[in-house]
Amino acid sequence: MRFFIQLSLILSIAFLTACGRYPQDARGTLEEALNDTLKVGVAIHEGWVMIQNDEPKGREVLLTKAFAKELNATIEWFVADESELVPLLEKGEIHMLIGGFTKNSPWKKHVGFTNPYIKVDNKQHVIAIPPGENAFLMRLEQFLNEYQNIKE
Amino acid sequence: MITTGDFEFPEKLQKTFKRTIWLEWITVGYLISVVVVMYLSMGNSQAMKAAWLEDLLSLVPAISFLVASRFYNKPATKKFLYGYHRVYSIAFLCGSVALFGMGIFLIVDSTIALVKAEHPTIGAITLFGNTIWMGWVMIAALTYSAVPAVILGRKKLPLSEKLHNKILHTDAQAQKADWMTAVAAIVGIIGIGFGLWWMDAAAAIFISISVLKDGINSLKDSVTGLMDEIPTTIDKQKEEPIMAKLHESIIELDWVDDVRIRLREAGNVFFGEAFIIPKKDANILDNIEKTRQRVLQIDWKLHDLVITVVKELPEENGG
Repeated sequence: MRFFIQLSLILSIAFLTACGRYPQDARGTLEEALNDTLKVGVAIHEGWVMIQNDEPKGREVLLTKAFAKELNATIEWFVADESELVPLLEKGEIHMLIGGFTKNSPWKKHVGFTNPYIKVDNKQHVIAIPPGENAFLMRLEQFLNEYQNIKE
Repeated sequence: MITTGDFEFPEKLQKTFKRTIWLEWITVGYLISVVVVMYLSMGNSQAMKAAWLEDLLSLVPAISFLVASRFYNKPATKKFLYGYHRVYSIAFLCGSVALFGMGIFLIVDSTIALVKAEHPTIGAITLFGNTIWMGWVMIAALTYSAVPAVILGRKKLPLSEKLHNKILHTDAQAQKADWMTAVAAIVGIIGIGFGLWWMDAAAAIFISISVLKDGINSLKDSVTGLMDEIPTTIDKQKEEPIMAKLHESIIELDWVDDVRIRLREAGNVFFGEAFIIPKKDANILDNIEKTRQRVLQIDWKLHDLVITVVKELPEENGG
């Protein structure tokens, strides 16, 4: 019986804290970006992320712009190769990484992924975030859900 | 060649045994459902991975018990003169080795996660249009893995004593303590929710240590059992009282001058020898037969006793 009491105690404490911001980030990515600057890694992936006239273009760029608007943040773009951007993301030096990533990308051991937000040609597309930044991830997931609904 | 006799539980224990088999089937069904539910909700938590592997492994004693239960009372054959009772001991050893190995793997794996400072990412799940943190789902799955396990463990523990079955005892004890693993994993996940990534790896190490400890203990018990350690009570706390009882009931017979006994465990029953110095004018042949019949009634666990008459007994040795 004592076990059930302990467990319900832990759970209720957890639920109470959930009223504040829960889950929280390990590094505070959401705090950093909110009303400030969203640092976005851009890895070229035809159709999803491109550079035209020195400007990032493509589906995921549009999506990122809408997300930044919701966070009331300006975007700082970091254009480079995947292999350079992933370590930056791992260290939390950029806040998110777009590049037409799919659910089964080999990077998934190194970074965090959102749930697939769209399925094209049988590929489930995701966006990469710094590992363990769960508050930021939740915010992005919520945004992606709504974004999906608008598009449908 | 002469085989040992057939074995059957006394009537009142037959029901207990059937009930145990039934409980073990429930355990296996339940554990499979736990393993599936946890696998589906596992996410990136190292602690939950450890808890999941532990639950997966806890299937081993339950399945071993059910498999061994089909063989243990097969009549002795010309090839296996002592019957099949030891299948329980062998099943127990296999389960222990698995537990021990998994404990070591988990400690290494979880320590690597801690040292490499892997930040576990736990995202969201959309249920009925609401975006919910996956951590809550994981906690629900862990709770499901703990509560029925504790109930099953508590139910099986007294049965294991009645049936004198060590693998069942190990199984029941592990399940009774299973809530600690679940709580540790839950604490790890709640920690992740607070942005404390290391709490997950720390909880995982805690769980691994408990798995390894269980593994070492049951490995020790199964090996000493197979090495014919003196029979002990099911919890290994003290010598099985049957040794003293047997000695007493033989030495008080009027044809017996002195007696020494040797017993060993085979699964849930005992085999042994009694060395008797008879009194001078005793009718040895009749008395041996009568005594054998009598002492085998003392306890159902005493399955076979060979009585030998000797001129003198050696000095007691050993510690």
